[in-house]
Amino acid sequence: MSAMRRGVSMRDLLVAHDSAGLTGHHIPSSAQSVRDIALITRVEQILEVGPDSIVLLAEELALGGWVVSVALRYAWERRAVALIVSEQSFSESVIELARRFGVALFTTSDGIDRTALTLARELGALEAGILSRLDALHSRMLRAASIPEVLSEISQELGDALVQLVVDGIVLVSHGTRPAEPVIVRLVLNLRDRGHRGQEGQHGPDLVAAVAPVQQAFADQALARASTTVRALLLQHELDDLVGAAPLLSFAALSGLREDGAFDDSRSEQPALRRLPSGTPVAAVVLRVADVDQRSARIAPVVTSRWREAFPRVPLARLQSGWFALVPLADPADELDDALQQLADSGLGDLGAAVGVAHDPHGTEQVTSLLRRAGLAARLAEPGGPVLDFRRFGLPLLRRLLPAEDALDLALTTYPALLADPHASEIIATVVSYLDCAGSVTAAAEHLGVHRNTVQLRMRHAATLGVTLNHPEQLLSTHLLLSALDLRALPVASSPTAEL
Amino acid sequence: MSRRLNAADVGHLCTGAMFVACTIDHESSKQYRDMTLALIELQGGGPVLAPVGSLDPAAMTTSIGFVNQGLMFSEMIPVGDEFETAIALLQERLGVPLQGVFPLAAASVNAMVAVSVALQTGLPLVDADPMGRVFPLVSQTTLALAGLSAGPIALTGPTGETAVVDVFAPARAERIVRALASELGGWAATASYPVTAAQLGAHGVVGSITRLIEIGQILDSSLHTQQKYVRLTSLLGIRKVIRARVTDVEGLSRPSVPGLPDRPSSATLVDEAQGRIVRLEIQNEILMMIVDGAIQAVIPDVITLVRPEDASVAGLDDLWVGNKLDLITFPAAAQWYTAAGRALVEPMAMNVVGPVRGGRAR
Repeated sequence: MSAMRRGVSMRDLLVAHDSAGLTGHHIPSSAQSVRDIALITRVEQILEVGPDSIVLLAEELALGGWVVSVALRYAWERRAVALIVSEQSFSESVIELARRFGVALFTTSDGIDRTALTLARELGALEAGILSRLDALHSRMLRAASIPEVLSEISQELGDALVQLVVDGIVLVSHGTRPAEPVIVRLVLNLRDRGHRGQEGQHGPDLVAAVAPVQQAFADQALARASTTVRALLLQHELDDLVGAAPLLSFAALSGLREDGAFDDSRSEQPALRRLPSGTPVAAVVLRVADVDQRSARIAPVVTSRWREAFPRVPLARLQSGWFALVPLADPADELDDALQQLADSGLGDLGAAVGVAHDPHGTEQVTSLLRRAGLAARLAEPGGPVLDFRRFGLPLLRRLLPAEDALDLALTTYPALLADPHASEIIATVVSYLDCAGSVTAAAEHLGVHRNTVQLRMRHAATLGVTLNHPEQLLSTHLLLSALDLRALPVASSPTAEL
Repeated sequence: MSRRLNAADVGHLCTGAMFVACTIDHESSKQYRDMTLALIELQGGGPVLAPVGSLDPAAMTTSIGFVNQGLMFSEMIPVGDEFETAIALLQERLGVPLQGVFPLAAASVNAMVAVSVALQTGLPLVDADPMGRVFPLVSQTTLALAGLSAGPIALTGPTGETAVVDVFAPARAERIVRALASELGGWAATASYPVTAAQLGAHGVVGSITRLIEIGQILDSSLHTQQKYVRLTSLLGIRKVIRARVTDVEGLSRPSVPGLPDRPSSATLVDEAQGRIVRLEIQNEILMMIVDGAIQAVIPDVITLVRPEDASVAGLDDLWVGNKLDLITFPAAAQWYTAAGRALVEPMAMNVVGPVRGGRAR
């Protein structure tokens, strides 16, 4: 068994070194790496040549253009990168063949044996230089404490080329700038069992580098060297999260929420699990992934990274179908809401994660109840949509039960005159506000920011359009139906502003 | 059944003989064709073409052919009785009468010589030969493959000098006959490979004269070029026809292999349809055809040239830059594709060809 050669740039080996007396008759423009030097005394020996080799034809063999033609063909078949023969003149057809095959063609004035020795020596020296660079880079990467630091080291070694850690198409960490006409080098990191490939189409995070073509071989090896460190750092973060979340035990133990989303009320309450002092305002946050299969495992690096950026000191605990955390409400609650919304907007929606939150401003609620509320809110929240607060549960729940399109259908049947009115949206908003405020005209006027006379006028208008609030048994259904309407979809009064 | 060849048969035979042997000069073949046609007209009939099976199995036959060394017989024209002398000498050495002649190679001038000699001597022309095409060496025969003796060999030179060589091994016979040809004046008319009709039937390429006539009938017909190719494909199993234009001719492409009588050269053509680069390696004949660096045909395959406009037979002298030709390859007789057959004819090319390959590595 032989060790895999690392490979050096063919340009570095053949073009930059003129010690071998080489004359280039065709040099492909694309970057190619060289792993081996093969001296051939019989043409069929090329069949044993490995890929990325430079083939040298012995002088007694390469005495005819046709031998060179056949050797070029063999070299192409074996994916060799270059053919070197002794000094001779070629017809244009031979050079054209080299061009068609993308195989570099050189002659040497130094003698084939001598050239082979020179190139072998140069290849070894260049490989040693590359290994030395890689070793130094590896040492620096091992000392790095974070993934951005690792990527920064690689980027600097590649001349500030763009290096990224990408998870499911989302760039988690990025460093450097994309060069002109780059070559993309990609390395898939498998965080789990290396022998387990997972489901088709699924893969772990990718290390991606956009580099100049000449750096492709080195970038390939640099990423390979970085893979262990990056993988270790990702797993370390995951472990830190687990350790931080350990006091919370499992979501299931706390809340009785089974993985299928059903509640298990037979679970006994365990108040001792609450780590925060009683009376501490707290909010339970649940990040739920829509499809429960292996998706949460794959997007874990993104979710935990984004969470860590948003709440550096709050541990995030893992659940098969998502994550949860208990966030102390040291800040005003609306700041928490803003932070959660930013978190939801930072790409989690694209990954299918929905965010639900339940507040306990007095620190008196049972943790179990709080988490169950947050879990229920997360189940109702839409991935990519707003963070759903359990306190504002009603309308989203109603919208789940009665989607706006269906509500419009129903309203067109029940209240055709209202829906046909050009001022329908403001009348409906007024009625809903009036009912929200338990029939208080003053509160509704304050909520809508209009004069109470305006509210009364609109209520009378509503009555003429068929919306009567005189029958208590119809109040709830009227309230639900009008609340479920999407007012933006209603006809508007024909006015210059409305037409905008 | 034996039949007497007429003038048209001889014309077709000449065309077929030139087609299967793409040499530098077809003039010698045409010269012998014309001599034979004149003789037919004089005698009022052509030679008898006898299938091998129609002869007494014990009947002794011999191959007839020119062996040259450095001089084309068109440059020192035979008097006309050289082969009659050689046959008489061979009969004398064998002590039995010869009852048929066959060409040393059913291709090129030697195919025509056999017809002429059959007509001159009155012996039947046996419908077989020991090559099925042409190879450069006397030793490269299917009879040699079968372990039969090449000798005794009777030779007559251009000045009338004669020799009879008692030799068994065909390879040795090649060296001695080639050396004698040089000494005799550049070429020698030979009668060699004395074999019985049974031996010829068992180990020769049977029916090769008839096949040449059939090739000639197709090529000499008024059919369109493509129609001729269709007929030839059916007859010969043509593997490839490439229409290409000559772009380069090289005088010396590789070192001459010791023991071979000619100088090597190469021609490069560009495929008219797809732009493929076609390279022909030539030594006496076309040894190898390389298309985009891949060997498409190599001896014992027959590689020949035809003019696209009328499918008339072209020669190596048609390989001038700018000329457009159709390159045709088809397999030789089956005996040449056995391990022993390849070993006998391939060394001149196989030391550089290598084994069959399986396409590009993944």
